[in-house]
Amino acid sequence: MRLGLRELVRSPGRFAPVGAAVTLLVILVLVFAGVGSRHVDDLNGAVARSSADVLVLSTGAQGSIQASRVSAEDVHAVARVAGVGAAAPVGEVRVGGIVDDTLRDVSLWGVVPGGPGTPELVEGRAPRALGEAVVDVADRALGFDLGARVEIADTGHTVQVVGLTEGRRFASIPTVTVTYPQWEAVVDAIFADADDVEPTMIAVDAGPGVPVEQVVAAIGMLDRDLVANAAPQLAAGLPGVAGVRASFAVATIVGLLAVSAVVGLFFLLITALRQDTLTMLRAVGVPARSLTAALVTQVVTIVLGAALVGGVVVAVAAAVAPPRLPLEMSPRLLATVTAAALAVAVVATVGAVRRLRAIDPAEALVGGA
Amino acid sequence: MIAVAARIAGAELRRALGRSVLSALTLSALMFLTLTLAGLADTLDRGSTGVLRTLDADLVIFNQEARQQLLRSRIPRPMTIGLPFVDGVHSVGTIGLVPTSARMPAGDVRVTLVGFSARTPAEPTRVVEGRLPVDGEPRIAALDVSLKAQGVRLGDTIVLGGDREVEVVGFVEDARFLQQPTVWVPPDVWALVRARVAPEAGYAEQLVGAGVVRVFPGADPGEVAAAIEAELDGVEVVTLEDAITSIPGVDVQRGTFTVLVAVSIAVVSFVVGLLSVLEVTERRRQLAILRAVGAPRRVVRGALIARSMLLWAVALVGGSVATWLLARVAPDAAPLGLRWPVLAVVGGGLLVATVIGTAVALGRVSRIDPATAMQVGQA
Repeated sequence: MRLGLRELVRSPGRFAPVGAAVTLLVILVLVFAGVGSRHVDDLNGAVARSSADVLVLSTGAQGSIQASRVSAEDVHAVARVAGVGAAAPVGEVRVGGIVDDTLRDVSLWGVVPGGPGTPELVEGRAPRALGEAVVDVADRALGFDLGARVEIADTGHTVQVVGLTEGRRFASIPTVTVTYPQWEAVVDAIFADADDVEPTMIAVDAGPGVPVEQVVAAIGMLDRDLVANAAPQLAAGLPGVAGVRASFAVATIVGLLAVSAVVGLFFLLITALRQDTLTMLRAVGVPARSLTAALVTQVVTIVLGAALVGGVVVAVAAAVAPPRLPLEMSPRLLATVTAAALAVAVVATVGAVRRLRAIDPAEALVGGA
Repeated sequence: MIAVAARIAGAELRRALGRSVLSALTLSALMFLTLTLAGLADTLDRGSTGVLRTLDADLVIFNQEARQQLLRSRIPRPMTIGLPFVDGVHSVGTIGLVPTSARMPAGDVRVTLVGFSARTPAEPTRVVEGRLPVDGEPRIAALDVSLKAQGVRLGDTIVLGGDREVEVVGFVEDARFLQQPTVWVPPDVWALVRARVAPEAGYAEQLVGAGVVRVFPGADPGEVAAAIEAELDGVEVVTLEDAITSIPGVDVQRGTFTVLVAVSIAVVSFVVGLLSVLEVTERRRQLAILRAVGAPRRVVRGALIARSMLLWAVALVGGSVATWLLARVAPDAAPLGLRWPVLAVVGGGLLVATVIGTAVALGRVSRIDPATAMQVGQA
């Protein structure tokens, strides 16, 4: 092992280029994984992290919150189902939100204060009355912060931010949660010619000790056009989520394949270049396993170094990245990517190790022949 | 001179075949990564924007409150009647979108229902089978061709929005919206389904989503857009490309994948540089001998460039084949495809990266002193 580390220290010029290439690839893989994870969170965080155990949509919506409409009678019917602790209407609509004179698309959610689906906060307090709202910390950079006033465009309604949530965005746009009556008032103002404003879905809490699956099944037995899902399952099935998740997973796997190719090629070339030296070492009694250990040590050191530098670079990038380039970095993500990169890199050195073990020490006696 | 350099490069690659194959495989893996990213970006983008790209239109008219969002836009159809009299306007149509479900032979699927006015710029242009519905046909639809996977064929009846039966008379391709297949129906069918799935919007046959305009050849779309905005109150008129960019997620997706593809191309450049420098370092003595026997510097440099170009060509073919195969076996959820225009653009980018990477080693070649060949025992 010390042999491998010493060579790394004494020949930095030889290993620096491959270290840099592997670092860039590890950065790419970290970005794939980080962007993919953040994209999914931005798409479905409000659903995945819902405080409700179960969310109920209309059957025709096919799992699309935008397309779902339920009735007040549906809410009452679900509340009476055995095993349901509480049920409340939830509204979602895309509106224009004006903050600091800038108009942006906003996902406006309406929840019953204290009822199922009320978001958990990281700062401030929940909205209790008309004119109050909570927003996500991810949108602070856009001006959606405690005390900010958000004007709902073309409705005459303005709400003030009184609390902050975390990881609770929807459809990759700023997400503002207000009381359900406030949401009804906004929708009524947008569709002034409509008769009634209907909830988008129903948030349900299971009764004490009642399994969520039992509640889902019981609601499914109702003779209504309703579909119940545990919140995480509904979040995973939202339109676009599977595509984004699968796309970034494919990119991550191909990125790891590239790490494997670069490491494999480099160490095979290096082994070929050092053939004479390695033969001499074998001839003077250095066992093949020691040389193998030295090579693996170099691979592990390079990948760990690349992961360390890559982790720092991506963490800095995540901190300064503009909102239009969502990027996430966490110790868990770094550990996972590092472990995967180490595994593929070590496997990729099989060719170099085989070549190294095939060295015949006797060749040293006929060197140059 | 070029022929000599190419012959030297070819001979080097043949004589060190194992190493050449390894180098080509490594570059293939990196190009595979770049092409996969570009393919994912292109397919995701097309899956989100097809509904607008399929139109033969230049401008899209939204109501101002919709802020260029197709799903939210609502304009009164009568508003568009006078538009053909605006200078530069060739023809006008209307289009409306609403997310809903469709019952197919294989079960219920999520779709985006598109109401469009026939024989106008609002018609999808890529009809691959059958025909499009025309205005006034009460229970007729054309489907995105990807819905064939649900077992639906021409002449079948499907159910929209839970209760509206329509007969399938045609299939269109590359017309998806936000990754969902589209179902194209006459405006009155769309209005009925919308009234059921979005009751707060009410039933209003004359209230459509957005207007689409084709301008006369030679007319400036920007000027026509301004003329329309001056003519109509409360509307925003944008070019088709701007409307496409305004589709939710498109802008972010394009920005993200552009950065990722650029970084992976940079990695290719870096690895080509690494391979070239290793090559020059290892063959320093042979290159010095070549210079000592009178080979001009240009030939030696040309041989290195030719070698890199050959590797680029082989690796691009390898990367393309790997991406094409991955697209065949990838799960349906991962929208991966590789089109010729994407291959051409990314291949060009990778060529530039290869040239830049090789340039790093060219400096070392230039510094090789022919006298080195005289030094006994030094490589």
